[in-house]
Amino acid sequence: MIAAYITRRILLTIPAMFAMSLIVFFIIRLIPGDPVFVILGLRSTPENVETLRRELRLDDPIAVQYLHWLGNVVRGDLGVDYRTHEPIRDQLLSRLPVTLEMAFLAMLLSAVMGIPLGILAAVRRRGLADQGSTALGLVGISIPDFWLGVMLILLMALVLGWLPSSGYVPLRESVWGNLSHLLLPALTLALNFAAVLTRTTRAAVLDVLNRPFVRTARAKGLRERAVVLGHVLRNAAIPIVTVMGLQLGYALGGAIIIEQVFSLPGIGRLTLNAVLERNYPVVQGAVLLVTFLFMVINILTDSLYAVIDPRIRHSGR
Amino acid sequence: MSASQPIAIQAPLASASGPPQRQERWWTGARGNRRALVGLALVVLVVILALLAPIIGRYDPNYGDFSQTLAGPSLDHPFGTDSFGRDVFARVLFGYRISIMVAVGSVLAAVAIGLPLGLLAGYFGTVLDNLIMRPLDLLMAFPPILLAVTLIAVFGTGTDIEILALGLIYVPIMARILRGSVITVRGEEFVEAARAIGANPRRIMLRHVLPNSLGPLVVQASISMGIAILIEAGLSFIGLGVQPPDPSLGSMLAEGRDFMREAPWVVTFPGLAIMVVVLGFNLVGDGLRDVLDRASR
Repeated sequence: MIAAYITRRILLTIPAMFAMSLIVFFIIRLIPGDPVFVILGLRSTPENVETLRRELRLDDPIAVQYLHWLGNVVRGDLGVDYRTHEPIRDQLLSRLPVTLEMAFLAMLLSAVMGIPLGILAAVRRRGLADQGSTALGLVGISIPDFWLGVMLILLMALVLGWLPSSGYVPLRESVWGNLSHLLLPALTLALNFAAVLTRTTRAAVLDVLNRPFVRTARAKGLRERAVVLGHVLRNAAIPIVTVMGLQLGYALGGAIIIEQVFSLPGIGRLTLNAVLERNYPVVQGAVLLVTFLFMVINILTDSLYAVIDPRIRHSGR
Repeated sequence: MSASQPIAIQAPLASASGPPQRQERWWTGARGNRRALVGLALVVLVVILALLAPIIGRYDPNYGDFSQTLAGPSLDHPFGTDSFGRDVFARVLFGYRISIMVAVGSVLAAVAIGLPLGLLAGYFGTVLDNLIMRPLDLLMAFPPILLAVTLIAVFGTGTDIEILALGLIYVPIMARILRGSVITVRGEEFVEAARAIGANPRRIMLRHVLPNSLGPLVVQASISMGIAILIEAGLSFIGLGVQPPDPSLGSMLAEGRDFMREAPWVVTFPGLAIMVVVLGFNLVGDGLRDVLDRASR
């Protein structure tokens, strides 16, 4: 049943993927001027121009150009970066682990902070934890994440000297080096995410706490702890999972800004440099990859609904 | 309660169950809401500061006094000066102008496009609903910041492009929220009553359904203003927004980073300034939502 549900979700995403591919394809065609010169920029030697013209099939109708390009993309061929002569796919894949690690670490930290605080705020409604988390939540969603990052660098790296201010060490070289470089960026994202996650958890738990089955669970003598962790949390899980999925996706897109703050060599930095250098094939490839991952995360989030709630997996919606 | 929660404000026609209540009830009700009021005060304060920037700021935001570089906060320069000797306070005030302009511009544009789309999709449903909402869903399949960056990559930098990009991000959100509340209000008794006395669909939609569906949209608009300010500052921070030397809260932060050990005020105040105005919009949105939720009970 779950497989059927997930298959349906994947099929529903196909139009969006199709639209995305069209938009990304037209990025280069929308820029005024000959696409060949847009791509090559200052490197347009006559041979280069001729090769690329043939490669892009510019003499064919635009539909043929698109299908040809799409065929390459589906096979994983995103073209060559004309500045480094490196395949764009390899560039993207070498940067991807940095961004993914940062995003997952941020999600983990945010869950560790946000979910317990949200539960506590809901269970002790109007108590100190509730008021504190509401205030923190409001401030948390109002702080610009890149500024929080700059402030954390100022405090943790420049004043206290506990963590490195920027840069990256691969996991293979040093586990501690890797974590210490990713901790501040992940924490920056996580503090913002936790603010939202606390609010979501609180609202979801409050909503469930009033349901009849919670009264039943209490009436049959379960301890409050067992009621909340066993019955309430499971039923409050869907909004929480939704928000976490959205945040993971946001972290991939928002990496453009956060990676710049911490000089992390991830997908976001690659995208930003490509935009600033007008290196459009790389922009295309990065947008394609990140949007694809964004959609995959949405499918996975939806699939988790079916795992959490049997009613969804059986209703066939 | 989410912003898309239905609100059932009593409309003039549904007065059978008591004295007629005014449509603006949720708005006048906001007077009793402290949070919304504090938020509104912050927003109004920032707007006044932005409007009066040349008078209150005293300094030209782009004038650099090279004998006064990286000077700490003082009576003369309340927020200190930056590496070019420019007054940070004056730059913050002028930066607010750009923030507010981008926020208001993008949200207004998104409401102008999203409102009619959401109203039509929600009111008529079926074919028209699919025709309008499916393409908008596609827009939401892109990560928002990446969508903005892609547009900037194609069309270049500038506040007009930022407004366009943010507006495009918001259109589907606005349309979806209004559609949701229109669907709820459409089924209310007073709408049925209007239909029964023979009012034409246009009149029902604009006079009866729309005013009673606007609440969640107003909440979303307020929160979206705050988010727009955050995204604008982020884009300017990475060099894809407002271009130097024009002051923007985001680019000030980026410029101040190189000197943040000796002159932390250059990065501290613009960030605080962003936080204050975003907090204001969030408080207004939150407060209004509470008032709406209470009114619906």
